[in-house]
Amino acid sequence: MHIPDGYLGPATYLSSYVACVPLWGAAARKVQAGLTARRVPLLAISAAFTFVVMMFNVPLPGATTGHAVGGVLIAIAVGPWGAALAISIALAIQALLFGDGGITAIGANCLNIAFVMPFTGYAVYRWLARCFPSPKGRAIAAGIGGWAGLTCAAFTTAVLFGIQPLLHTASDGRALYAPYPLSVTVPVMVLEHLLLFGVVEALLTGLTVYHLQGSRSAWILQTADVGVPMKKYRALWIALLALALISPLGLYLPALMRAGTAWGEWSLEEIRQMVGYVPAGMRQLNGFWKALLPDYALPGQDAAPLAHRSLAYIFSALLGIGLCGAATYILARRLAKKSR
Amino acid sequence: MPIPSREQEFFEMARARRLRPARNGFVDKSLRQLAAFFSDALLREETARRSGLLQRLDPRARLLGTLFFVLSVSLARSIPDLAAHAALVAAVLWLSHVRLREILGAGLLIALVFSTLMALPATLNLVSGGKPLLPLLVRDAAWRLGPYTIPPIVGISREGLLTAATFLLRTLASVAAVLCLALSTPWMDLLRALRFLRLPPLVLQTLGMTVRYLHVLLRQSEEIHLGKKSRALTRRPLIADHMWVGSRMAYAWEKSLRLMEDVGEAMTARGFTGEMRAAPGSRLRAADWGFLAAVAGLCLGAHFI
Repeated sequence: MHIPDGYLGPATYLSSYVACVPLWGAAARKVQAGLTARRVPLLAISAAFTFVVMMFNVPLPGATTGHAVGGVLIAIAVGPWGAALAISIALAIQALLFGDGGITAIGANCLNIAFVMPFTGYAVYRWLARCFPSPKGRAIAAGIGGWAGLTCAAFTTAVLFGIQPLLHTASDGRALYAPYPLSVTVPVMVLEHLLLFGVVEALLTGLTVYHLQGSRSAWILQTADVGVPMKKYRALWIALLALALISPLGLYLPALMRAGTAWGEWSLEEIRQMVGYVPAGMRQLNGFWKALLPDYALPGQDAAPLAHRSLAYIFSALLGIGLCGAATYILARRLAKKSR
Repeated sequence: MPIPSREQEFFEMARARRLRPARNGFVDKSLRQLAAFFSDALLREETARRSGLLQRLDPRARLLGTLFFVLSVSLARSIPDLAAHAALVAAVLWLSHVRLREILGAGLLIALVFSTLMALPATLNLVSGGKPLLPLLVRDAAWRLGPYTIPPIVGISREGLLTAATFLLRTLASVAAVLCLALSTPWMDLLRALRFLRLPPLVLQTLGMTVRYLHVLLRQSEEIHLGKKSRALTRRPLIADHMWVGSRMAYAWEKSLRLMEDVGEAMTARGFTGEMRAAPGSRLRAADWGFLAAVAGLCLGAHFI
């Protein structure tokens, strides 16, 4: 996960630093505001603890072992902003003192491991912890948070690797930095973290949170273990409903501006007009899957007026939100039942 | 008839109950990693005391020189340019009396193996394009593997070799430069040198404290693992080992917090109010400026090869 020097081109690593600077500033402000003089060493302890996490190997089936990164664990213990700062410091030390992860890539590594991982993992944990308030439920929520956080971080790392051949290729065809395209980096990185490293992360995060709950460090956990009350989601539901209602803008604006089909979403006929032929693979796979609501419209509505298609658009958006919400709710209920 | 020892009695009892001997693979691995950390720290102290080129310079000059070098490597585009940078870092290593074995052990070997594994598939025309010079797989026509289209001839191409060479030279030169800095500079000197970069005092203080805590926490982890190793006699179910790892991690965090509170109280007792100030540093000497000018000149020169 730690990107070494030489894998990313200047445009990518400089952009990562630029993206990180305001995040570091915000993290420092938030942490300093809530830090009493007695607890100043908390950041240092958390940063040092990330090394300890990496030193704890977990036994896996087949006599192999693995270790976790601990980003979500630290976020649950000290909050995501504190975790972002502590992990950034640990990454800087790893790069400068141990040569683990590049100096030019500190920004990119912090973006992936210190921001994407703790924030996404912590958000998942907070949301699930509300559904399963029992100690076991919270441990499972932490495990799922760890798994989700690591996988998201792996995805953003893969994207950074995968855009290198697009950004930096020499005139003689050489890739100047990481040589693999997105079609290789994303499946490889995401799948291995989804199925292997993510499981170790989940195991270690969940078990540690399970044991931590009975300990005296609950004063630190108290910010994390209560979850968000349902009332606080009201604004989110209203925003989602509003977004669903304005979704037909996606139909009206292109018609108003006489824009063509979105780039890369052409039909076979449009491709034939553009390049003169349809690639064999495309022709073969086209129609492989018949969607229930093709192009977010009801079947046979291709030539219907915009107003009719707008209603179908809104219906599709509401259906999508409902299905995602229901699937997550069912999964949450099942896991909660198991944890009891 | 000899009287069986207590150890023999135990093994007989374990055999009778069908208990298997303990397999502490994960504990041993953690202990090996911890031991490697402490031995590396000792090695670094030793290499940092030698009277080489880098060791005689101010840590700030070493840090700035390394940062400039790494930036310059990241901007290099041609193979001769990268090779010149690699030669420069090799020369500095030799002049700093850092042996090849030491820098390989400090992390260059891992970087070499990992980067080579990363670079190998890039030598194929499948990834880097170009005409295969050395065909490895020949079929009648292009074929599909999931979403990927595989050309009829898969082999090592010129473009692939150049891509792999560029990638390896860039990565290894950068990693060697950073390890050269780490092996020639004691940790605390390096952290003090970071003040030169005008980092916020909160960050600088936390960096210093982290390095100190690191030793304490890792020593504590070593004791936890040694305790487990010395007490484990028979193999336990995988889930029991998982529970052990989780509980010890929670314990380590608990101990860390206790340490934090103790240190926090000690700092408050000595008048610490939460405000952090950095002490002003001394000026760089002529030799330090000379080193920085030489690094800058050689790096810029390399770009014109």
